[in-house]
Amino acid sequence: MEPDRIPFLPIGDRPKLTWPGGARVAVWVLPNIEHYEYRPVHCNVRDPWPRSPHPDILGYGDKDYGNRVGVWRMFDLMDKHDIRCTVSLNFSVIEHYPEIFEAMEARRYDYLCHGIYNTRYLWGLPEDEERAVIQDCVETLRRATGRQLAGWFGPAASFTLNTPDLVAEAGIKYCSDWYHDDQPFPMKVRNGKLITVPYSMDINDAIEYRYHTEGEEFARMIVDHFDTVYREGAESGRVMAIALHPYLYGQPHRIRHLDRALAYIRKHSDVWWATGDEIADHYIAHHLPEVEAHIARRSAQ
Amino acid sequence: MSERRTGQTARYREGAGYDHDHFPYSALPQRQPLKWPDGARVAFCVYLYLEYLELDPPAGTVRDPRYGGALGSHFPDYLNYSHREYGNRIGVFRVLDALDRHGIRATVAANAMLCERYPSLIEECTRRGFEIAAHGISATQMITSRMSEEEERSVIERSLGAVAALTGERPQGWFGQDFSESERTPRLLAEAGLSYVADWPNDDQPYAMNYGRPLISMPNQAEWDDTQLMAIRRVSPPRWRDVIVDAFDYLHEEASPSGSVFTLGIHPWLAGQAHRIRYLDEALARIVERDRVWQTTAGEVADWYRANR
Repeated sequence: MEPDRIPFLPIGDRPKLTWPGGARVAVWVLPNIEHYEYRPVHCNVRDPWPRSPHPDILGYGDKDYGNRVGVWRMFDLMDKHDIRCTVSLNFSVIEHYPEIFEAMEARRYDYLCHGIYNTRYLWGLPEDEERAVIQDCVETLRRATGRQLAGWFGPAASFTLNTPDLVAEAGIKYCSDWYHDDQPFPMKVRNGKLITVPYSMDINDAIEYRYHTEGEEFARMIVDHFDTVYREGAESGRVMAIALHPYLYGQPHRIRHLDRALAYIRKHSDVWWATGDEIADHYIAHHLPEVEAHIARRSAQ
Repeated sequence: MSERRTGQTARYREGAGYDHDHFPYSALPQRQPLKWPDGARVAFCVYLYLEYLELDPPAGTVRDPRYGGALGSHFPDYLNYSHREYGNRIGVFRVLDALDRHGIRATVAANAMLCERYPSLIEECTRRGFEIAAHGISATQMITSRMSEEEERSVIERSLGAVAALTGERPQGWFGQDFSESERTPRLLAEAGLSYVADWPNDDQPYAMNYGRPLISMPNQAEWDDTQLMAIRRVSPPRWRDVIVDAFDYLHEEASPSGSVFTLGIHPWLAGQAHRIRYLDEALARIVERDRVWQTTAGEVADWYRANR
């Protein structure tokens, strides 16, 4: 049966969304900090290294650049702009790269769970195996920080039809696997509650990297996107996600372009520099009941 | 905990560290600043790839599938074969002119079949004082984990021998075809007596591998290598120039006081095309006008690093 996860409610037919301090846009900045395996053992559906028999040290080495070099430049840049990031994190990084984990904790970064390794996809996993992955991540964060996991974004953007149900079941508040909106929105799940917080596959350096654009064009995309949602946000609040990868934008030829784009947004007032957890909490506390009631009224008509 | 972590949740190891033993993890801010000779901020190496690409490669050969080009690669691939030969007949001389104009001493990655067939190209390079490094047998033959150890050793020996037959000395450096290695390659390179390998695009500084005297991993910044940027990602030539200059400026200005290496990978069949050569020339002009640049070869950087790290 065709899944019905997100009731259709176009942007103009919603209660007004307001952000703390009357901000027009909630901007969340998401470095993806990942580990790609040298010799992946659980490749289902997709081959992470299709270039040659494994290992592929070009692919592996590119990603490793992020963890050795790029991530440290990106941390410095975020410090310069006083941005508290939401890290889309492969949770194995917490254990394999304690230097990176400590640096994120020292900055009070928020974590959006991005699975365990970026070379282990959820595609096609039976429900119990996927549940075990999500549960392992919840426990890993609790053990490392004492905190409950707030957000989910499938490893390497991989999913099953069960994912939203299993994420809600694990007590996770929000999911960023879907790209349908500029605002948070409720998602129908088997039990409990779940909302989506918009991540981006457009303002996303790893997607752009697949084509022939470079830092100059990506910085322009960030600025243009911001100008539009900032203008629209005067009517009803918007979310802007900036999805980054230290192995790409921690590179010496790109980091200044990112610097320039962030500085442009930084000049604007009425921007809420938020984390995923904060956006989810605000929406759940102040808007979710009203939006749910609105959806119920619409479906009764 | 660990006994429950099976299947999808199993970790490759408990605790900190990589999933291979070639070198340890190193976080940039935890390193001692790297000091180059004479207070240079950047060691600048041009990696010039001189390659023969077989028209009729042996069965079982693994070739990087990304290089099929716009029309794909089908047998016999006159298109890609002759495109590469353009580099060896025409493009390389444009590139050498540009290097001469800016006084640059390159590090040449020369494959065995090129050395065997076109020794005059190697002579062009040795008479300019370039370093000649080994680069496998043919541009169609990646090193992969499908090879036996014996096969891989024989590829390394033939590659080293083909260079040595022209230069009179065993090369100090190794460039795998298209950044290719098996799991055993770094160990075999160290056992073959090599000083450095330039296969790993994971750093802007050299580092010691866990093999040999030690074997040094030299940076090879694939991000602005001409093939990665223009043959694969189809970034425009003027943008290629901008990327090179942006990267160099960052490493020269902001990564200082710790020294970095800036490597520029050039393939004559690509950068030596008439519509691209101008942008290589402009990028080199911008680099050589900077002060405190150590323009050198990969072998000299590796030796210096091993002696002073």
